[in-house]
Amino acid sequence: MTEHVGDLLPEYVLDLLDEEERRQVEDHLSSCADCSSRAAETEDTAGKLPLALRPIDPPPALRSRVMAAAAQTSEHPSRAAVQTPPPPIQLRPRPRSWTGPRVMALVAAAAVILFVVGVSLGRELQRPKTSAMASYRQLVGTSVLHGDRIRSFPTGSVGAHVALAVSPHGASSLIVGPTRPAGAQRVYQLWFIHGRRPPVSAGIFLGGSVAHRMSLARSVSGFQTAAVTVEPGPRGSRQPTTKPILATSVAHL
Amino acid sequence: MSLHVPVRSPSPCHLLIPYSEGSPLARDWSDDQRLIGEFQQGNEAALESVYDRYATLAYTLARTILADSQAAEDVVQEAFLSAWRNSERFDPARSSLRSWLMTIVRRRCFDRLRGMSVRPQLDPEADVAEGAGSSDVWREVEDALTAQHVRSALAQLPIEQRQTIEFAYYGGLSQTEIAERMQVPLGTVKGRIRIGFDKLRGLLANLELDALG
Repeated sequence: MTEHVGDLLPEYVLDLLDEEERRQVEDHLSSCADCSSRAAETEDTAGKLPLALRPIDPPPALRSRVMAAAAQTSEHPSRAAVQTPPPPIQLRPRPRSWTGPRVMALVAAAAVILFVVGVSLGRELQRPKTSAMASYRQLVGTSVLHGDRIRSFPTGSVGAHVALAVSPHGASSLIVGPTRPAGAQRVYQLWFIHGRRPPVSAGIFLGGSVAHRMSLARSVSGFQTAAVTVEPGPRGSRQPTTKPILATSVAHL
Repeated sequence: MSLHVPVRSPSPCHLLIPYSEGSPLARDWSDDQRLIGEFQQGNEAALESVYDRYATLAYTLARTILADSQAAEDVVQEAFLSAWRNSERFDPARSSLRSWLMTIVRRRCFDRLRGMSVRPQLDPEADVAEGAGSSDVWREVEDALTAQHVRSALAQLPIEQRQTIEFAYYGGLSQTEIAERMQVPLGTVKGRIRIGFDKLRGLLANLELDALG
């Protein structure tokens, strides 16, 4: 057995050793029960250090994002429970009043604004033919020009392009870009969540390749989180029956 | 391991981490062993429980190191998913679940800082939000006692030992960088870390934190 490594353990658990020293310590730990036990104690000591910090709660949406990502990678995804579907909340298509030559000027202006919010329009604007993605960005851009506040969902593994928009008057809309279809007999269902209270359904929508904008019958105001699940179609569920595939914070929207 | 974090101006007498006098972070519960078993079997509900127990601690640590709420969220998400996907690597005989998770969070923070060529920020007071929420009064009392013990143990260390450990743990500095910043020989840094950690280990051993969870 090599020489005991007790003196090196604090540096070991703090990642302060170089590769050679680390390898020597790990070689020894694999064959020395005493040092291995002491290494466990030392590692535990390090792990207790942040207990003394002033705690900062993570945003509630982070939990949804972690669980959504886990559900997508788990080999044992949760299975949906069948519930009595509620009456659907109607999502009314919103007339598009921004058409014709004016669109190009607005889109150009929107590109500047969207750059600020992290959305790049550059390549899309150069395309002679409007794609579904460009239409989506155009919808978002015109919404910004209307003075709406925008919160985009992360695209997630379903490749969704979905954004919430809140008008200066407080009306909430959902802008849906190209999104993988929810599947046979399935719909996407939008939920608003406040703390640990049960999620509130805000409407259902279908995926697809056509960008569109829908007015929500329920305002996002007062909620902390918005999430999207896949639910049985065509009417959705009373409460979520699957893990969220998309989630975002709406606390300050 | 050298993390090549840029050295800030030396301030040997500056206390880096102002610890909380308020709500603590301890999140250890008595059914950890059962939870670990389910976590390692790929139970999503177990991941949810692990997140609920340790997310505040993980986020606090990430915010302390990164001083950036969005980056801290990313790191915490990556850390929990990494732990989830690699749960078979966790050895309960070698460390607690909390220590294992905090090691993952800490390393990912420094990986991120290295990738961004950004120095760690060591001013957790600057951006502190609300305290940890808990609806369990008894757990709040238990947590308060645990955190109080940890802070008490840290306070019993000579300031130079405590500060050296903080530079290494929260700042991700190499021992050479710590020596430069504190303007002391490298051997002094090594000694402070070893002696300081031994004292901490002895002080905390009596707390039986793991017996609480």
